[in-house]
Amino acid sequence: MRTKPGIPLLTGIVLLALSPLLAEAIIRRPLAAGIRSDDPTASEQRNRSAFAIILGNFRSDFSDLIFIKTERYLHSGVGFVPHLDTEAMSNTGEVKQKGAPGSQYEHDPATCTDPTHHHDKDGHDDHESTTSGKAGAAPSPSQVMEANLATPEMRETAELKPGEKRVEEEAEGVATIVPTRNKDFRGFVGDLERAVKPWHDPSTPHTHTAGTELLPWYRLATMSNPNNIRAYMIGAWWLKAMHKEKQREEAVKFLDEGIQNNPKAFQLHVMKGVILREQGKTTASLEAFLVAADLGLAQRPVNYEETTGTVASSQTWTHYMEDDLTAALNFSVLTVRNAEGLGPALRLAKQFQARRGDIPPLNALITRLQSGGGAAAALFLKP
Amino acid sequence: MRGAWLIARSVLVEAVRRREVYAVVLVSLVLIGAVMTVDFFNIEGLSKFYREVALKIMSVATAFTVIVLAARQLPREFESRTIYPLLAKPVSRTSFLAGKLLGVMLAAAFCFLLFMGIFLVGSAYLHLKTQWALFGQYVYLQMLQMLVLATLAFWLSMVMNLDAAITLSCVFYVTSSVILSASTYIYDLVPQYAKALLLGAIYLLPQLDLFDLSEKAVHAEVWPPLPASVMGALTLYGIAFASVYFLISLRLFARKPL
Amino acid sequence: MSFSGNPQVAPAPSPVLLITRAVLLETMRRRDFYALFIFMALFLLGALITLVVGIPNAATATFLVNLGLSMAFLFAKILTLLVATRQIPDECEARTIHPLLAKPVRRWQYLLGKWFAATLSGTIALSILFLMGWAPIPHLETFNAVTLLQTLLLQIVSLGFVASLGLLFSLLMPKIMSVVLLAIVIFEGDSIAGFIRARSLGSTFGSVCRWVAGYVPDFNHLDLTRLYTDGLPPLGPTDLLLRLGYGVGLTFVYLVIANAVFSRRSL
Repeated sequence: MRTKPGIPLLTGIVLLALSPLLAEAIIRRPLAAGIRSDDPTASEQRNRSAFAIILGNFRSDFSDLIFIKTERYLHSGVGFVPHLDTEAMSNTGEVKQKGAPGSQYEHDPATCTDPTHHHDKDGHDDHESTTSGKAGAAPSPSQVMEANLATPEMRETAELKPGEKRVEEEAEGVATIVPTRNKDFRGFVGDLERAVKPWHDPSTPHTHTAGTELLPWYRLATMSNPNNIRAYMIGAWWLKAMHKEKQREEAVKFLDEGIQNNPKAFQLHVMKGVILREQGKTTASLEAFLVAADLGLAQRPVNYEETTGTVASSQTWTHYMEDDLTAALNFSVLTVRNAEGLGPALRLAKQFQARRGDIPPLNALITRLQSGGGAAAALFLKP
Repeated sequence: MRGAWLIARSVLVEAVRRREVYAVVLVSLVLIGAVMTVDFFNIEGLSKFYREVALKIMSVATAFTVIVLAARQLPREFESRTIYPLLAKPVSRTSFLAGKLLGVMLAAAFCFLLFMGIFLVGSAYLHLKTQWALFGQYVYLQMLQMLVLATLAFWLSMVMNLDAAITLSCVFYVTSSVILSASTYIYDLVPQYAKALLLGAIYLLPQLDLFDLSEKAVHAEVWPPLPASVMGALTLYGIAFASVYFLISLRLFARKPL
Repeated sequence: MSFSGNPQVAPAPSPVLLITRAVLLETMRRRDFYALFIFMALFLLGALITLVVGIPNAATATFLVNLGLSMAFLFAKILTLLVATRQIPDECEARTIHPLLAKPVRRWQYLLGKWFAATLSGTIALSILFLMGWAPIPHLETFNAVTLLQTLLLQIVSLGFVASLGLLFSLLMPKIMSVVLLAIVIFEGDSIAGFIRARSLGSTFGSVCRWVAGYVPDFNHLDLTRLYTDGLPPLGPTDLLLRLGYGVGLTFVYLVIANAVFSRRSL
């Protein structure tokens, strides 16, 4: 029996025509998910586990897939057992990779754009900490922020162009996922796998390839999930690390897109400020830092315990966010200090303090600013 | 032999006429094309992403096409009863099955070569260098993998229904790499009897991941082509499994009452 | 005088229920249980490996919970897709649709019965696979039970959505094509929509493109797995209703369109 669809069909068509309204309403109310899944420490833990190694490229989460891609792309496809510890890096500043030539914080004072670094006239870096007040004791907020985003290998390969490669001088000694012949029970199947898959003997030096080749994956990650703030941050970091004006502009555009999709993500404003500052756009960068500080202070739970790194009553604030907020506050105050002097900088710092009470890094900064213009002025490079 | 060739031709003609191959190619191309239209921050020479995405979509699409095509050959002939007039002619069951396999492989080659042609045009458009020797080896090993998959699908379609055969073949294809990596990881953790089981599984199951050279093809600037000895070993490995599966299928087919 | 007629004669079951039962019986008898068994075997294999390897930390345990749930939801969707897309083409090919529609069964009832059966098959598979993927893994971090219930509810709505799209696609294109295209829509719909939105940012026709992207079925809106495995509280009423409205509304819309296509089709 055939029936005439009539009114139901008309209703269906009208509803279908209007359905994007519903989709848009859902998109405008993004889920708060990400506190565990996007947490870099948790990401490292799960991606280092045996299951992750067994699963290879199988992931239900794009962030985890990018974790794998990063490891593989930087090592010309060779699957190493994941071995980088971002958590330790960000907490201690001691980030030297096995076999890597020095700390990731060693860099040229002439090209340093970080206002929280102190470079002596004789070229000796002490990397003054704004959190402890002791020279060389702990990384500065901007260092921590960067360490939270980029592994040493990412830094080392950032300036390689697509197609370029660099052979390490020493072997890193990190185990490969496909074992060496003497540890492999599979006989000729293992031999074939070592021949067909990108593999090299861990006892020999290996080749690093350009990390910029990863950028499309970050682009795709943000398309797939416009609320993936970390993908925006790391993508922008890669572009910034290329040290070219064209790519800095692209990074700012990319971050603007992220901000449009995630208006409350203060971390994106911090990164935008850092890049604008590198471009010499002091006013615009200060604006970005102030927005970041404003948003971050509004979101930071009052009872955040820095020592434990978590807040029992809140499931939306991590120590990574604390690091980023600290960077936002410092950059804001120090940019004002550089532009307008010590008085306005101190006033701004105290305004921040009045809004959210006890924030240890901010307290330390205020103490140091109060301790005298000369000493504080020596802390930071003029842009 | 002529009978086998006629059957192979009919399989190929049917696959091409049904336009499913074109549809799969078209859908894959739309996916790849859409991804490649994205502006990746105005950086030139980003080759790995294109290679990885394109090769992955193409090889997966070809594998699924081969599985579906191979798995439905025999059940469909029985279901539509077209097998009776065919076998009434002077065509042996071996020739019949060989013809079917050849037809499926020709269709796979047609599909894959279409893909590869388009891949190379895309590479040229993006001004990317192609490492021809490595690329040729990649294509050859993919075809070997398709041969093993096709014979496996034949076998499975003789012992279970069509949907189950397709599902199991697909699951096997997708999880093949996991089996290979899981075995090395858990070998040291299991008791002696399980070690023997693992070793048996490694040798008795075809390790399809061994025919996948795409990772080296993606990072082609670092890796040289495989030595001839490895290519020879892989060829023997693939043919051995395909022969075993073909013979099992043939035996089951011969026993099947018409 | 009796208003209810002969009390000895039981009322005839609705044609929709009859068709649903027939599809379910057929599904159980010969076809999709094989696929379900294969998926279950995969879960068992995973559980065995977990047993051997052990779980080193809470983050890995949560990763496995997420993976188990994602796999259960994925396989349930695949089964629903396979059941839904083959219903009408197979009946047409075997010509069993003619005697069925010659009976006093309206086409919408036929379609509704098929949709209901496909959704129910998927839900049964989901229940089994969920238990296999979720229960054996130790939950070392905190999880919210209400969030889990919301996750499951929206997954069932998802299955209904898949079934309606499957029936529509199978009426518009060959079976294999409908399976491939629907699989792309289900598993990559969110990426396709996100791609269109990202490309339209800042362009002249930005808002138009954004609107068009809204037509791409996005199953991500109905997936709360991350919310659950992140240990977060359940959605508020507005958020939940929006998502339910999206899933149920579009299921209805695609069923109505499928009915319109089916009604105009000569068999």
